[in-house]
Amino acid sequence: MEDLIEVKNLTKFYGKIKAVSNISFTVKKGEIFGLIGPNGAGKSTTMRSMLNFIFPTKGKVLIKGLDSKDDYLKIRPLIGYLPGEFSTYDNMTGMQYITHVLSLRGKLDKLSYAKSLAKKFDLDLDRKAKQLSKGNKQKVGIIQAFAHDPEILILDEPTSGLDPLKQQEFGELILKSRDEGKTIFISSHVLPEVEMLCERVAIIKEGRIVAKNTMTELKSMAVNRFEVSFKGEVIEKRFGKSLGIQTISRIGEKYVFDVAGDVNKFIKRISEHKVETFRSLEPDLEEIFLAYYKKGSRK
Amino acid sequence: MMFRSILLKSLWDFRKAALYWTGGIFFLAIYIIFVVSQVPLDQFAAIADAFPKALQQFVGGEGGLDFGSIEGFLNAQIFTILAPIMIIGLAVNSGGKATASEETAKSLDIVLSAPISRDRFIIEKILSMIFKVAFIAVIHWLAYAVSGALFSETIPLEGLFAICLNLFLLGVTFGMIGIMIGTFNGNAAQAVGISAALALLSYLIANIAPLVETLDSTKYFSLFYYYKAGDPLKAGIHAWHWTPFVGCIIIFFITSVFQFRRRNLL
Repeated sequence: MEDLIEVKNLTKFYGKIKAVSNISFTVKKGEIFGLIGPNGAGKSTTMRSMLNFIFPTKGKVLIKGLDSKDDYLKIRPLIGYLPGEFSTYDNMTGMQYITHVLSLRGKLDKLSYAKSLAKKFDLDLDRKAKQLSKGNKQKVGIIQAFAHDPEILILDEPTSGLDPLKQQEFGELILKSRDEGKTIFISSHVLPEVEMLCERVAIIKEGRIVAKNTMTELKSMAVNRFEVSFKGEVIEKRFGKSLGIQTISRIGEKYVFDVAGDVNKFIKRISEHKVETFRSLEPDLEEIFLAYYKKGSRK
Repeated sequence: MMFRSILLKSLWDFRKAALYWTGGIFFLAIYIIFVVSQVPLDQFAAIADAFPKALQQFVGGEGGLDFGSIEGFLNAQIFTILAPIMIIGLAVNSGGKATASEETAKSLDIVLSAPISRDRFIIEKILSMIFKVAFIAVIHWLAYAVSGALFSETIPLEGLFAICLNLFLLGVTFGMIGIMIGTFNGNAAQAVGISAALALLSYLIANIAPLVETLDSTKYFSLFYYYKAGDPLKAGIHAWHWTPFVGCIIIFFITSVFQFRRRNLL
């Protein structure tokens, strides 16, 4: 598949402060790509570089082969953008705001689509922005990003402030957009959401990409977790580090083992006991993410 | 309400304020001209003559207080302090907030994610400030021309035009200072505050410097000096005095556009 977004050795310094350092990744046409990391890791700097709000110190971003700095006016019609801190004009109603944004884009013919999105998200477009809750303002932000039917969506913390039902609606909208061939780039620190939606993710830490894989690959690289209950006495000493066991925790009668090494050795040793139940637990993105973050903090 | 232009949206947002400004300026003009029509000017002149010369200059500008004529009266009551305060207040508020308040409020992100260049955005914001200032200057001209006619007071229309034109240039120049500062730091409160402080400083220099002989030449560094120099309300247009305004406006315009073009919008 064609690489629609190419981030090449992107580096940004603010004076002596490094925001992102030499990061590279690509987003393929028609995929949902997630950039995850805590606040201040460099997610927004990366996204804002794509829109030419921030100028890279080194490196570049190409969107459909166009340079984000030199060709930004050609790129912007292709993009729907939702900033991390979305803000509308307090004196405008949702409808006036969406109309204004679509007018600036020369896409007023898409107004009926915007209205249908508002209906989907249960948003009253006749209320002024100052009367809207944070969640409803965020819905206006989501609608303005999708309304002109862009080829690429760049969404910074898109579900911030949305209730769980609307988060689900949003997820459906993202998947539908993907099915229509749109390319979606999401930054978030809501990991279950990224895990549910994204096919590939990059983990950004202190301005550097520390992992970049498909969700399946990331999970396979993670520590294997097993939940085991035994009949009879268990000699915990026999489960040492030589088996690659990183941690053992006990919840009632059940033991949870995190195994980083050869799983066969571990299973052989387990089978020396009378096993009552044995379950392999799939690691979630949060654990993978924390593992990458803990790695760094030990250094 | 469909605006493909940032300028039109900005002017549309100004519509209610424009109404209040018009009402306020007309009310003030009618009130002042009515008072002048009821009280013989020589009575005012006698009061003014009793003031020390320094105080007359401080209040009435370098030419002092001249209450013996309608032009002098309007100069002292309106065009030395009140009208400049109004127009500079509007200009620095509009200019200082032009880019900076949208940047602070983060509403700029969505506008600039549309196919709109930074140059277009800032130029439309500058034009919006200029139109608002022009509107206030025109309303001043209209208000005093109409009030003069209403109470049969002879106000020289050419002189009125000249002082209103200078008022416009004074406002636009300080508005441009506000815009320029906003493009440097993206902070609307600072942009408005600093440009208003510079306007006050300029006023003080123009009106205080002539009181002290050794400081007299510093008045040439004040835009307020050129605003009132040659007494435009009495003497009409002095095109030469527009030079500092036009020069400053061009420099601030170029600096603002260049700075906004190269700045990281965080």
